[in-house]
This record gives sequence, structure tokens and C-alpha cells, in this order.
Amino acid sequence: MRALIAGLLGCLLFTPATVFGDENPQLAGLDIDITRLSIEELLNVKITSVSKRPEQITHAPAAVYVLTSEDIRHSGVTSVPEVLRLVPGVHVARIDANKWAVSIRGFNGQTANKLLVLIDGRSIYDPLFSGVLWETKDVMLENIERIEVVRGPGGTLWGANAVNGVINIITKNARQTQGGLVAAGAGTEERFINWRYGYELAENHYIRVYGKGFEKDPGFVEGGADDRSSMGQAGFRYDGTLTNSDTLMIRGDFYDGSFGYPDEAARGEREGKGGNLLGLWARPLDNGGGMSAQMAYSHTELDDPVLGEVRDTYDFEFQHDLPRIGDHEIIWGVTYRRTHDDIRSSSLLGLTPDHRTDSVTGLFVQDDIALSRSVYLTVGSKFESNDYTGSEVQPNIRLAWRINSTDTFWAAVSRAVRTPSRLESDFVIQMPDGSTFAGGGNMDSEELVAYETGVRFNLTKELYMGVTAFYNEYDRLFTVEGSTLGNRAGGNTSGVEVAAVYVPAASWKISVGYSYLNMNLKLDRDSLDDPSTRIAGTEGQNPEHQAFVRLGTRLFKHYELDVAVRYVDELPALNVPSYTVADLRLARRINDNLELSIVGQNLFEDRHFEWGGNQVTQVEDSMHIKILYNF
Amino acid sequence: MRRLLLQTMSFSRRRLFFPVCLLLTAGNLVAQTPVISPTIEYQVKASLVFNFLHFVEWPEDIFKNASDEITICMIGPNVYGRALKVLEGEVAQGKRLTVRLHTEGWFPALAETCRVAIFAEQTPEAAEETLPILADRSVLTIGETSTFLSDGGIIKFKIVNETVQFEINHAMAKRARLMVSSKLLRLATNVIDGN
Repeated sequence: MRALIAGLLGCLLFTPATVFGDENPQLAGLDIDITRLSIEELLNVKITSVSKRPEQITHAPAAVYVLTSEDIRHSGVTSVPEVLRLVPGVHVARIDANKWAVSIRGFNGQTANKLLVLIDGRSIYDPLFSGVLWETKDVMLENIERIEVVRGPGGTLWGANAVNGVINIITKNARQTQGGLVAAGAGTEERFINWRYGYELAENHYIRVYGKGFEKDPGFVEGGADDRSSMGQAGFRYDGTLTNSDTLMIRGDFYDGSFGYPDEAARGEREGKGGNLLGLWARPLDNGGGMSAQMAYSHTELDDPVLGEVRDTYDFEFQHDLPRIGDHEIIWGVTYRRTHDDIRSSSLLGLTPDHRTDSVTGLFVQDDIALSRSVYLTVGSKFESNDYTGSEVQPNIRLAWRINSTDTFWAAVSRAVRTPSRLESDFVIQMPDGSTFAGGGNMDSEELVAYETGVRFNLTKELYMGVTAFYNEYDRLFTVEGSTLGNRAGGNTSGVEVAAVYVPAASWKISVGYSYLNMNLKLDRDSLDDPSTRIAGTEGQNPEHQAFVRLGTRLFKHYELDVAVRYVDELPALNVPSYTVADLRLARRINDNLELSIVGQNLFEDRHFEWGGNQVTQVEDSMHIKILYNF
Repeated sequence: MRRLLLQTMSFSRRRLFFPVCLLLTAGNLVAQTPVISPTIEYQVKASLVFNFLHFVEWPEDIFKNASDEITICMIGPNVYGRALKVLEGEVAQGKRLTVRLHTEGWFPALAETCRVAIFAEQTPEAAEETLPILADRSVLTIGETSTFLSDGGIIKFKIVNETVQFEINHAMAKRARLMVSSKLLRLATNVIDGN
């Protein structure tokens, strides 16, 4: 199988820049389908991309990868974690049929805690354990405009916990989604229906409402598993232009779902529900800068046999982009977050105190300095104060050399921290022998200093490549010290990530991703922890090599064919062997409003493990049929 | 169903690889003119130009023969690059589109044959000189300099919140006897009306 993948990769990569049956060679290398987009769609295409300040992605001094709504539609997948499998360097593992482990540059786990995930700028990670409960954080895929994935620290702009990466899910402007859409599907492992309807409230004021529901079957365990899940979600998004050119966006979602564990008799079922509301006001300034203010509120309820959590979080953010003055372009902003929780303990796990209010206050400032016409230096830092470790400083310095309009070389050094989670700080477990194992209330933050460098270039007009190398030095990683936690491990990780996009013609797109990761952690001399669990256990939950090839093409005008093959190396600590599987999608556009598709997922293997441990099920091959209707 | 699927897959594993590789490598060589890779901004603008053609009607006497083409003229450096060339051969209002580049010099006499004239931002003097000549000649003029509409142009692109928007000088369109659909007028961020 590996030989096949290597062969296919070689065959695709070293094909001369020509293609069979090319209808219009002029389209090569274009990002949009010029003759197919409507005016409404075009008026909403962002002509720049984001690094807090809009910036050409080709020039961003960081390892950024962008998935567009077209990439998502072509993938045929039905959930956000599955979409992230299409990003080089992201490790996505399905633990059971509804729970996921997602991480970048190592340290993966069900509560992978070094990754920051945002939906429209609102952080969705749970401060209880500094991780993301992916099963409860759903987004209707048809509403996503793009997903920006930054590998490497983003602490300078986004604050603590953006240690190894930032995933930013950006939904479409309501103006872009006027009219109705229904996407419904059914298959061997799931049934789902997504709908939305958008209309114009008044001139320059648009809204859409949406709803989605799904039910998913259990994964595979000998004798049958109980990890079925179902969820319903609904929400809205309003976008308006106010007097002058101020814009206002208001969005909200409500969800309710139940997520089984593989062995219900032993572990029960997890239930999650909640809602959120976000408002973003932005004003472009005449001189080229801009101002924005964002407020968000979220309420989540998690009911798991081991622990219950009710949480209310308020976020406020203000940002001011100054116009370029001379060689300087400065952004600064303030952030404030207040979160309150109420925890229900169980006989297995308790938290003291059982309710707690925490706040985080932050200030960030960044200056983009033009050293010459092509060399830009970005220096900045975030200063944050939190209730667990006091104040934290997360500076970075980035250099970009814009070789020409498409090629950029960049290098960066950054510091980022991960503050202790509520759980790590306050948990109490009664051990069978009567002793107590409790959280480390006085822990420090985990610390990272990252050295990164990368280059993005057009090898030919049709072949675009990005290569990134990194060396991360970690210190004060969490350890178990007798009956509490401490900060007595460190070490380094290093790796290389390659992304290539080959567009020989407008109707062909081939994407290739490869990543290599080496983790080399060690306990401090004075640590009492067990190296086989803390060190080998942490390192061995991450694949050393990962690779994928995606091929998408349009056939005979009305058909689309997509093939994605991915390889994930073994996870030695979990006894999970390496695997290679494929996704296939064949779609037919019946007319402008109707598309039918058939999707096969996780093919090549009947079933495979992606994670290990007790409450784990295997991923089975599956297929579904989907109908997409616009009206 | 699953068994069937698996059989298909094991078949494809063995047999599909070489045909796929062959398909990719045995393509015919197509000579491509080396033009600049357009930025997404100009791809969007080119696509908007194509859309405009569906919402603007020329007077009937302009197209004398059924075989007449709609000629799009680019005046000044071609910042649209390939994005504009894509429109060559497409059809709008039942007419084939052709694209002509006037990169070097602009001859007002060509106005007789251009149905759409796009002015590059880099050469504002070309627009200033030419717009008065085109005013009564049923040419859809498109530009992006800040004074384009007050100089007598019909559609002006501008950038708002990282997106491309447009304004319409409806008075000039009427003077050129161009019928602009109400939908296009509604989507414009600003409409200048002579009435």
C-alpha cells in the first residue's frame, strides 16, 4: 500500500504541466471560476486573507493553510474534524464514533490542550480542560467560507493556549447566502439534513437562519458498540452595513446532542447542549486603518457520568489597526474574558471548589515594519493576566522576505504558554487506598519557545509549494508528582511540513501534504513521574509521518470526481498501527440548483483503529448519498 | 453493499493505478502565453465584468448582424492578466466575446468597435482623454480611479472591507443609451442619477 501511495505521489508530482482533455488552458492558476460566480458571490469574495490584519496569504510570515468552501464541498465529509484531515500537519484521530483527538505538532489526546480553535473569532475551547469537545462544536459545513489553520504559536495575537497552532473557522457573510439551501444525505453510518434560508431584511441588512441534525451509528467493536450519537443545532447570522461604512455582524447558535460511549454499561453516555451569541462591530477608517469591537456570550452544559459542567463565558475584544505611518503599521487591542462554572462531581472525580469564576485580561500590540520594499519585520507581544499563574508575556518576532509577488521566505521566533486548566488546578480523586490525588493549585504555565522558518513559492505557474521547518523547545510541561501535579518535564520537538497545490487547469486541482514530527521529551531530574507513561506515552500518541494526496476534477461538464488518499503512521504508545485509507466522491450537477453525490469514506480497509485505550471503536469504511439543493 | 464496495476497491488498487498515471502524463501540450498571474482582486473584477454583460443592454442598432461580437477592450497595462483572456470565446446576450488589449497606445477611433472599455488604474490620463469621446457612443466604460465617474465613466470599482464593490453613473449610462438592469443598480453601492 505504501508503495502505491509513493508511486501515485510521484506520478502526480512529476507529471509535466499538461493535462488531458483540458477545455480551457487559460484558466490555469486562477483561484475562482470566472464565468460561474454570481455578482452577489463576487461582491463577498475577500481579496485578502487574515492575520488579524488582512494580508496576502502568500506573504504571511507563518505556516498558514487555508481550506476554502470549495475544498470542503469537494471533500464530501460531514464533520469539522474530518475536514481538518485535509490540512497538512494536522493529526486527526477518531476515538470513538463521535469523539475526536485533534492536534498540530504533537501532544495529541482527547483533551489535546495546545491548540486554539475559533469560530468567527470566538474561542470554543473549554477552560475546564483547555481542550475542544469537537463533538459538541458543530458548524454547518455549507455555511463555512474558509478555515484558516496556522501551525505554530499564535500567542502574540490570540493569547494563552495558542501554543502549537490556531484553527479559525470563518462562516459566510449572510449577504452571500441569500435564498435557500438543503443538503440531506443518508448512508451506511449516518443520516443528516442541513438547511438554511437567507433573505434581505432591508437594503444592506441581511440575515440567514439555519438548522441541522444528524444521527451517527456506532463504530466497530467485536460484539457491538454503543457509541451512537445524534444532535440538533440551529442558529442565525445577521450582517449589515450601518450609516457610513460601519458593519455589524450578529450570530448565534443553539445545540443539543447526545454522544454515546462504546461501552454504555460501563461508561454511560455524554450529553451536551448550549448556545452562544456574538456581535462584531467594525469601522474602516478613511486613512486605511480600522477599528473593531466584539462581544460574545456562551452557555454550555455538559453532562457526563464522570463529571458535569455548566459554564457561562463572556468575551470582549477591541482592536485598532492604525494606518501605515512611514514604515510602520501598528495593530493593538485589548481582550477580556470572564468565565463562570458549576461542576457536578462524581465518585470518580471531584473539583474543589465546585464553582469558580475566572477572568483573563490581555493587551496585545504588534508592529509590522517595512525594512525595505521587500523585507518586513513583525514584532509584537501579548501581555495577559490570569487567575491561575498571574501575568504572562508572549512575544514574537517574524521576518518576511517577499521575493516576488508569489514567493516568500519567512522565519520566526516566538514564545507561547499554556496556562493550567481548571481541572488540572482543582481536581480531587479519592484513591482506592484512601489517599487523595489532587490538582496542583500552584502550577506554572507550560512554556514553549518556537523557532520556525518556511518558504512558499511557485515552482511553475501551476505548482505552488510551501515548506516549513520548526524546532520547538518546551519547558515546565505538566507531570504527576506523587499525589499532585507539577511542572517537571521539558524537551524539544522538531519537524518538517510540506504542502503543494498543483492546478494544471481550472478543472483540475491536486493537493499534496506531508508532515514529519520528532518528539524528544524528558523528565526533570527531580521529577517523581514515570517516564514510560509521561514521556513515551505522550510522544507515542503522535504519528511520525503523515501524508495525503487529494485530486479533484470536473468531468464532462456536469460531473465532479474527487479522490483523497491519506496515510497516518503508527501510534506506538496506543498500539495503533499505521493505516492508509481513501475517500471518494462522485457528484453530478443536474442543473444550476441541484447536485447529487455519492461519497465513500475510509475505503481500502474494512475498518481501522485511529486511537487506542479502553473506550475506543474502530472506524469502518462507509458510504453515503447526498443531495444538495439551492432555491 | 459493503462487499460490493470492497470488491470494487480491491480491483481499483490493482488496475487503476497505471491508467490514472497514463491519463495524467499523456496529455497534449498546450502552448500558453506567458501572462502575469492575476491577483484574486483582478480575477473578481474580471468575473464582475462578465456578469455586467448580462445586466446591461446595448441599443439594437449597435449590433447590426447576428454574428456581431462583443469586444472588450483593455486600455493600459493588462493588470487583469489571464483573468480577462478567459472571457475570450464566452457568450453573453447571445454574442461571442472577444478581448483586445491596448497596452501600448490608445486610439480613440477604436471606440467604434469596443463595446466595453476597461481602463487601467495606472494610466488615468487615458481615461480623462477618452471618456468625453466615448460619452455618446454606447460603450460601457469601466474604471477604478477615484474620479472615474465624475470624469464621465459608467462603472467604477472600489475596495470596501477587503471586497470589490462598484458604483454606477446611471446618468452617463443613459446618455450612452445603455439599459442598466434594476438588479445591477440595486447591487451598486452608489448610483449617480442625472434626474
